Amino acid sequence: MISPPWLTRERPRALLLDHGGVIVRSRKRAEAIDEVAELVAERLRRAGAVELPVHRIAEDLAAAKSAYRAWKTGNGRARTVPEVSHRDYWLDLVAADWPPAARALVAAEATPLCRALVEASSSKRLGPGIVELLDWCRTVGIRIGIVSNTLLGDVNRTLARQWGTLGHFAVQVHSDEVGIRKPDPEMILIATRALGIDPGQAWFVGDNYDKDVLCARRAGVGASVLMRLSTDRDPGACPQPDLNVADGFELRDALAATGAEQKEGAA
Amino acid sequence: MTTAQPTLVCPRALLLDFGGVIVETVHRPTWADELAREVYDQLLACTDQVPKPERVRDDIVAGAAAASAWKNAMSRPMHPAEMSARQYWGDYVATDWPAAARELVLAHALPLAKRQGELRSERHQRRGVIELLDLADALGVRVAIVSNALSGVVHRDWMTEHGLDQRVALEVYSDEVGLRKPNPEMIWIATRALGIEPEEAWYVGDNFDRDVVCGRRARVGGTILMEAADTYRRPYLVHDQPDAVVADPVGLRDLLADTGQIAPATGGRP
Repeated sequence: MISPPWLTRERPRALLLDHGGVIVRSRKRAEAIDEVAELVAERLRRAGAVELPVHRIAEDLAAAKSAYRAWKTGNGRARTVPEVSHRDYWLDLVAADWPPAARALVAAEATPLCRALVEASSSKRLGPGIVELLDWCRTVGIRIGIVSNTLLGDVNRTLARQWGTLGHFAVQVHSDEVGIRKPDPEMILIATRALGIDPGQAWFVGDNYDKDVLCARRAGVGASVLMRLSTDRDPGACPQPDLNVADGFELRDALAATGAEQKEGAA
Repeated sequence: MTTAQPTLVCPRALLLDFGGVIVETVHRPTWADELAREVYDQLLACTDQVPKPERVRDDIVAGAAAASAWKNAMSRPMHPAEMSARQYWGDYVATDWPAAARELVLAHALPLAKRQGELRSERHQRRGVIELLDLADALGVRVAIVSNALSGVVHRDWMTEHGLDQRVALEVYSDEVGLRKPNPEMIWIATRALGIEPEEAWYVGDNFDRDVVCGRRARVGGTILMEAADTYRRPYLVHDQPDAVVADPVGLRDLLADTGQIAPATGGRP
C-alpha cells in the first residue's frame, strides 16, 4: 500500500490534517434541514415582522446547500478560492428572495444560524486511529495543524475541547475564519508560515481529490496524502496523492516507516 | 431618576445596547497577563519564532490602547466599519512580531478575540432587566440588542447562559455585521428585521459618542441614554443630547410604563 519511494523520504516536521473525513467521521442527519427550518421560522415569528411557511424555508435551505456545493466545485478550478461569509451564505444562497425583514433577520443572526446548520447537519466522532496518531506524533515531535473548509470553524474547536484533543493542534486554519478555502494553496501556506517551516517539510492529509489533493499539490507540500477506504478510491482522478491511507493507524505507520528509514540512513 | 421629554411615545420596539444597559461591565485588571500567557503558550507550541513573553504582553496592552483610540476616532465618521479580528491581531498587536508568530495570531484571530472578550470583563446583569423585558412583553414591544462588540459571540453566550436570548427578537453585533455604532445602519438592520420604521423604535445606550449619536443619525423615535460607569467620560465634545436619561433598567422600565400608560413600579413588580 505504501509505495517504496516513501520509505526513503524525510520525516515531516509537521502534519496538516483536514477535519471532516480525517480527524472526524460524520454521519449525515437527514432531519437537519427541517430542524433548522423550524428554528428560522421560530426566529421570524419572534421578530414579528414577516412569517414564512416552514416548508418554504426548508426548500430554500436545501437549495442553498446544493448551490453552495456547486459554487464550491466551480470555484475549485481557480487558484484563489474565496470562502463564503456567514452573512452571504444566508443573504445570497438561502434568503435572496425572502422579504426584506426576513433577510435582515437572518443576516444579523447569520453566525449563530450557521452554527445551528453545522451542528444539525451531522453527528461527528473522532476517526479511527486519530487519537493514536496524535499521541504518536507528540512523542516523536511532529507538530500537527488543522486545515479545514468549514462554515464554522468554532464548531471544530468546540469538539476538540470536548474530546480533549485541542492541545494537540499547534495551528488551526478554518476557511470561514480566514476567508479563503481549499484548494487555495494559501490555506496550507498559512499553516506552514505559522509553523515557521517550508511547505516541503509538511505532509497534508485530506479525504478528497479535487480540494485536498489538489491543494496539497499547489502548496508544494512534502507529501499529499489521501485518507480513504481502498474501495472508495478513484484511480482515474487527477492529480493523484503521493500516498493513500485508510485511517489514522495507516497514516501513523507510514510516518513511522519514514522515521525508521531515516534512522537507518543516519546510522 | 428619569427625565423625559413629553414627546416620547410608546415604541413598537426597544433596541438595547448590551454593555452598560443589559449588563454592567467590570474591567478585569489581570486580563492582559492571562491572555498574554495563553498566546505565548500557543506560540511556543507552534513555532520557534516566538517573541519574549513580556513583549507579547506589552503588545497586547498597546494593541488594546491603540484600538480604543481608533474606536473613539470612529465615532466621527457617518459610516464607520468595524475592525476585524484579523486586523486587530495583525495590525494592532503583532505587527512587529516574527513572521511565524504574526501568522499564527492572524490564523487564530477569531478565537483570540473571543478569549479576549471573555477575559477582559466581568459582566453582571443590571438591576431591573427582567422587569423591563416583562413590561415590554406585556405592552407588545419587541426587543433587540444593538451592540458594538469585539466578539459578539461572547455577548451571545452570556445572553444564552442567562436565558435572555429567548427574550429578544435578534442581536446585532458590530463584529458580525462589519459595521459599528454610530453607523446608523446598525440600528436600521434591527428595525428592518422587525419590519418597523426607525421612528417607531427607541434606542437605548450608555454613551454619547457611540449611542446618542447613533440614535440621532438613525432618526429613532426615542434616543435614551442609560447611565453607566463611563457615560460622562466623553472622548470629545458631542453635540447630540438624548430625549431622556435613565439611571438603569428600572428607570427605563418606568419611562416605558409612563408612555405605555402603565403605572410605574414603585420599588417592585407591578
